[in-house]
Formats: sequence, C-alpha cells, structure tokens
Amino acid sequence: MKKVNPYLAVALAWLMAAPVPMLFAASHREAPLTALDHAADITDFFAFVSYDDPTKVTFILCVDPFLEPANGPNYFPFDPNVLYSIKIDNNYDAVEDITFNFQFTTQILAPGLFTGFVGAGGGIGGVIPPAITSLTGSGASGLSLKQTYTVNMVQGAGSSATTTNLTSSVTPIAVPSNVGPRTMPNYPALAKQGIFNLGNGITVFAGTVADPFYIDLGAAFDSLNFRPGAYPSGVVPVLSPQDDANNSYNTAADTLSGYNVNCIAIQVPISMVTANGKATIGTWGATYRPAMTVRSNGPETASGGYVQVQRMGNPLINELIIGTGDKDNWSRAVPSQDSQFAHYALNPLLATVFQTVYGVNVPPAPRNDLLFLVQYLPVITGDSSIPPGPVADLLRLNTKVAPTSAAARSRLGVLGGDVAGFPNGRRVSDDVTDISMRAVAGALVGNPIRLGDGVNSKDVGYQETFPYVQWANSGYSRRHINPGDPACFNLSTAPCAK
Amino acid sequence: MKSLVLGFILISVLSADHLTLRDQMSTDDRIAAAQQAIAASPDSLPALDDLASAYLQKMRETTDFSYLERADKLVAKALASDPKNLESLVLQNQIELNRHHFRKVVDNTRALVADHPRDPRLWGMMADSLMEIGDYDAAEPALASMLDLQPGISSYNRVSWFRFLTGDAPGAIQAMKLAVRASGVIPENLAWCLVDLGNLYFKTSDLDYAQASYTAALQLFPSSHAAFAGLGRVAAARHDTAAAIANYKRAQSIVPMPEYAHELRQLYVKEGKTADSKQEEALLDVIDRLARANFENTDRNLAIVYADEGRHLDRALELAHNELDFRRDVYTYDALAWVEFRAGHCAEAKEAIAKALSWHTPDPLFSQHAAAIATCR
Repeated sequence: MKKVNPYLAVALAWLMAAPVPMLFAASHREAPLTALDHAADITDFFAFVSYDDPTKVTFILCVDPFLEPANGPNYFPFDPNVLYSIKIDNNYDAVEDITFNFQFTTQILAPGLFTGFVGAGGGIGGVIPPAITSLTGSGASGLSLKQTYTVNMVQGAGSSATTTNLTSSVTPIAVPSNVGPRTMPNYPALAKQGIFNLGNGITVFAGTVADPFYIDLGAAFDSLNFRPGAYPSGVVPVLSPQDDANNSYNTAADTLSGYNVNCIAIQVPISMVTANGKATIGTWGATYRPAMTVRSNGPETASGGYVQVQRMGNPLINELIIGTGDKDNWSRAVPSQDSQFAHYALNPLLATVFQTVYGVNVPPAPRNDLLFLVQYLPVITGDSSIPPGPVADLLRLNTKVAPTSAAARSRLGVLGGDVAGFPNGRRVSDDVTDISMRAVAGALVGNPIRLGDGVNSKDVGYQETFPYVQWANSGYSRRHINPGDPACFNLSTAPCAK
Repeated sequence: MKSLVLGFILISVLSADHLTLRDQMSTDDRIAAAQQAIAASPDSLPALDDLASAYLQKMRETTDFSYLERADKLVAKALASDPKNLESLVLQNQIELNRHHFRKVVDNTRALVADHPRDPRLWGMMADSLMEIGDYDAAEPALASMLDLQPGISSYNRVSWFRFLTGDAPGAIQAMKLAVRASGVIPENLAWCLVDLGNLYFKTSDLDYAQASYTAALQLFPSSHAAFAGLGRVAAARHDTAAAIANYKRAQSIVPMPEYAHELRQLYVKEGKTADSKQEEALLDVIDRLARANFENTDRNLAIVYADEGRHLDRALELAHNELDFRRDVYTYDALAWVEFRAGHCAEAKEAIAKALSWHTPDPLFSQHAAAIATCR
C-alpha cells in the first residue's frame, strides 16, 4: 500500500468532512466590509485652560485605542494618510472659525515597503534599535523609523479660508511608544523632546502616551453590570460619600490601565482663538481621509477634497446617547447639522435604562436640562448675550474661568463644585463617565444621586505641565489592573471589586 | 422590554467609538461574548446580528462554511421578527454574496440604498456583485458612493481591484497600499489586504515586494493559506522548487483549494515525481466528485486546472459554462476561453478571450492564454 502524502491525507480528510457546498473552490474576492479605521478612530477630545498658564488654552485629540505597550514599538503612531483636525467655533454658529490641521510623514531610513502600517509581528526587517536618548542626532541612531508632522492653522472655512503653515521653520517629531528601559533608558527625557515651541505662544506635542481615560469598561460592557463589591453603600451603582469624595481611590479596575493611545496636543494663547471680546468657544476634533476617485488620477495627493471619518465634541455622546443605527451617520456629519440628532439628547435611552434597571427617578423627556451640552447656554458661557446657536455637539469652554489648582480640583467638575471642569470644557482628569451618568439621571435638576462606575482616577496619574497627559506606559513594565487585583489603585490597599 | 433595552445598550457600548473593546477581542472571544448576550436576551436583534457577524468573520479566518450556515439561521431569525432591520439585511446580503448569488445581491442592494443611501456597506456589496457579473460601468459609481462615505480599508481594497480589472496596475497597487495603511484592528483583514497587495506585485513581476507582502501577512495571520500559496508562487517563479512545494503543501494543509493541488502537480511533474503528481490529480478528482455530490457544477478555478492538465475537458467545459450563469466578469471569460481552446474549440476560445481582454486587465494569465489562442485555427 502506497504511503499517502501526509498533507494530502489531511486534505482528503478535510474534504470528506466538509458537509457544505465547497464554494471556496471558486471563491470570489471577499474584501473586508466593515473594518474599524483604527488610525482615524478618535478616543477622546479635551479642551481646558492650561493649569500653569491661564492665558493659554490646551486642546488634546487622542486616537487609536488600546495600544498594548508590550506589543513592540509603535513606530508609526499616526497615519500619514489621515488629516487630524482640531476645530474651534468662536461666533456661535457651530461652524469652525479656526482649525489646526496636523499631517504626518513617515521617514524610513531603510527602504520601506508599506510605509505606515502598524504591528506586523515584531516590526519590519528585524530593526532592533539601540538605546535611544534623543529624537534626532546621534542619540537617535537607533530610531531608524520616525514621523514628523506639519501644523497648519486655517482661519475661516470653505473657499474664503486662509491657511498659515505654523511649522515652516520647525520640524516637530512624533514621540514613539515607550519600548522599555534598555532601549529607551530615560523615556521621560526623550518624550519631553517631543514638545515643540512654534512661536507666537504656540506649543505642540504628538506621540504615544498613557491613555488618559479611565472606566470599568467590563462592567459597562456587560449590560451596565456594575460590580457590587465596588459599592460599600450596598446600592449599585451608587458610590458611598467617602469613595465619591476621594478623587484618587478606585474600587473597581480601570480597564484601560496599562494601555497607551496616540495623542496630539496644542496649546495656544486664548486671544488667538476667541473673538469679539467673548470668552466662550465651542470646539471639536475630527479625522479625515483624502477623497479618492475610483479611477486613478495619478498619485494620490493630499490636495483636493477630504472626507470626514470621525469627530468628537462631548465625550460619550456617540457611545451613550446616539442610537446604534445612527452612529456612523453621526460620525460623518458636521456639528452644524446636529439638530437631526436632537431627539437622542432630549430623550436619552440611557436615562430609561437607569430608571428601569436601577429604579432611578429620572426626569421625563424632553430633557431640556441637558441642552447645555449641545447649545451655548449661560450655565457654561456665563453670558446671556451669547446666542444659543444651533443644536450641535461641541465641547464648550468658557476661557474666563480660571483653572483650578491641583489640590482643589474635583474629578466631578461642575457637579463637584469645580467649575473649571467638564462640562465646562474637559480636562484629562475629569470623570466624564460618572458626570455623564449623573447628568443623564437628572443631577442638574435636583437629582443628586452619586452614580459612578467605581473608577475615579488613573493609576499613572497626569502631568501639571504641557502636554498634561502621562508619558507612555513601558512595554517592559506596564500593568493592566484587573477585577479582583489585590491593590486596585496604586495608593489604595483595597482589592478591586471582582 | 428590559432585556431588549439592556441588549440595545450592550450593543451600543460594543459599537462605540472609544469603547472598541469588541473590535479588540479575538474572533472566538467575540463569539463567546455574543453567545452570552443571546443567552441573556434570546430575541435581541442586536445580539443575533452580532453573533452572525462574528460567525462570518470566523468563516473568513477558517474557510469553514458551516459558519455561513450558522450565520444564516441567526439572520433569518432576526429578519423574521423585523424584516426591515438594516443590520440583519446587510448580513443577509453578505451571506448571499458568499453563495455567489450576485444578481440577487445587486437587486437587493439597489432596493436598500433607496432607504439607506448613506450606508457604505450597501454600496460596497453592490459594487462587489456588479463586478462579479461583469458590469464594471455600473460598479464604478457604486464604488464612488462607498468611497465618498467611508474612505478606508474596505473601500480602498475594492478600488484597488476595480483599477486592476480596468487596466491600471500602478493605481491598483497605490490603492492597496493605502488599504494596508488604513488597516483595521482585525489581523485577518489586514493580512487579506497584504495578500492582495502581494498578488498585485506578483502580477506586475515585482517578486521581492510580493514575497515581503506575503511574509508580512503571515506574521499577522499565520494560517493564511493564500499567503503560503503566494510564497509558493514566488518560489516557483524563482525556480526554487523545494520551497515552492513546501509552501503549497502548507497552503493545502489549511484549505485544499484546487489551484494548490494543481500547482503541486505541475511541480511534481517537473521533478519527475510521478506518484506524487498522480496523488494531486487524484485529489482534484475527489474535489470534483464531492462537488458533484453537492450539486456544485460551477467552478472556474477547477475548469482552468483541468484545462491546464488536459484532463476531463468535458467536465471543464461544463464547469466553465455553468459559471456564466452566475458571473460574467473577465476572469470567467478567461477561464472559458482557456477551456474552449484546450478542448479544440478555436472560434469559441477567441470570442471568449476577446471579452476577457476588453477591459485591458493587466493579468499575465490573460496574456499567456491570449497568446496561445492566437495561434489556433
């Protein structure tokens, strides 16, 4: 009996077992249909008066979630094909008056094949960098792949807009992820080199950083199954007064702990973005890809039209308020057209959930108490001469409100008596999960219920100077905090709720 | 009501922009999570759709078509309770695409975009089906709509294919490189685009870049049979028969496509390994026998293989002609032309190859076939 080729034997066995039509045998092209665009995926958008300089405002746009630090160096934090954009409305029509556009270029010193793709196994071509102490020069000889970027300031919109190149004499470099202590012996010193002064009071930073957002995603994810162990009050999900008062104490695990994200930060004089003597601005972040024609018109270039891929103003609007069927439409829409989505904010499904599941007495629809999230109202602007403007999802910041010192800062922002926090702009440390839950449950109309997910802060903390987010977690020593972990937060000895 | 609401919120959270935990999960974890959701709310449409979607991704990764059947049952249940549910309808058309019911998908998506003109997936499936039935003129505006709505990996990949089909290889490579750069988080999706890119490089004679593309695909998705086949193809082009055989065998061990058996047969013939080549022929015949048993009588890939080998030409003609009922794209005409030529039907071969060449698709296979057919009388 002839010995059957073992591969053939497996193939035969496979075929015999196949109970279904073998259409694979004449397969058609099956291009992916619904892949998430991770490089253009906005995770968070922040806007706040700079803690250390009240004449300045800082905007931070973060993209590309769940970057695992141990998965090798992220040589291409940003996609050169994506336009990253920070927009500001200062005359209350929900149309941008000032835009800061960021575009990246990847430089490869060895010949590259697929410039800009991330995460191909252990990297490309076995390039293992020696110790990197600098973003340029001799200390960067191991940084063979790097990204630089341009920053353009657009004033106005449409055909009459004017553009100024802010980086004509400075070439900012994006900061790579924190590989570990051998490759990058002094990462904070390296990352600080990513802060560039562009003149005229403008400072920029772009690179991989520790994800500033914090939340018990697993609980939220499991049909809002918040963990009983996180609530000594015994009432889920109501925090005890003590836990609520402690801004750096977690009773549940932060699902995003130990992960990195890519952020772009820009700090500018407030006078550069305000107009007509008014202090309040509306702002949002957006990502675009160039419009492409089906038939090629020569090399794809950055000039020509752009198509919006995603946008974010208020945190968690798309997550928690907009209905599933409209999420993609919402991502592609512009804020000035948001009245089409107004029915969601005025009757948020989440409120019904709180009522049904947790018996919270939420105010009835229409939720006019939430309109300040989508219009310019005196509760934020402090100025009744400012028109409300169209219903539009913008982060509205009153730049006249002085920053709160670190000691006095409350994660609960306005709901915690700290008027320099969300929803007056958004700082990196603001607990938007708890604030949003409470706002939806009616906290602003006399329903002061201490809803919370049990995650009040970030274990790695933040910085008090630009860019205010924490430097990237190291691939060598990052810690993902899990439910049931013995020390839930680095200052706490209590275990995380399971 | 409560379970529906909870299911809705769960899926809202799952679909959220920032909270992309679902998309970070492995496909098996996605399946497990979706199964849990269904256990909690058996009639929840979002949960049914989510599990069906996860099954379709699993099918892509394993080429196990039983997942298609499972997805089909879930989608049928969802549509029974809400015939207008868009997510379920999108999934249903994805399933129909996999069954090669291209004309049906054209009709379905045309009706659906009337109500949902801004859903890029509908335009994508419409374009896919139109290209399969050979209506490239109509495919172009459908693709343009998809691009306008959602530039990214899904649309760039399709644009790349359209450009190649209509005679623009450099443009096809450019678009596929953008697709690779715009990769989503599912490794198999990026690996798929890298294989497509490798195939484009191979067809334009860039063996180094082709090899690098296939290698990168395998780093991301180690069970990509198409990537192994690509490496085999490159090795064969470099006359490294041992490496070619090894790679095709790896590909075959994952999914026994007729092309792999054929390529191995050709390589064994070249090496004088008669017994091995006969085994590959036997495998091809088994593939065909099983196909007949399942009433599968359309298979242009197998038709070309039989034509190349000069065996079972009657069956090859049958397979190629039957394919025309489902699709009339340039590859189907090329397959038909080759089979007719090898069966000695010169006039039919010339007619078919003219149709295959009518869009100037720069596939070397078309040129090889055309050159041979030009000599027949």
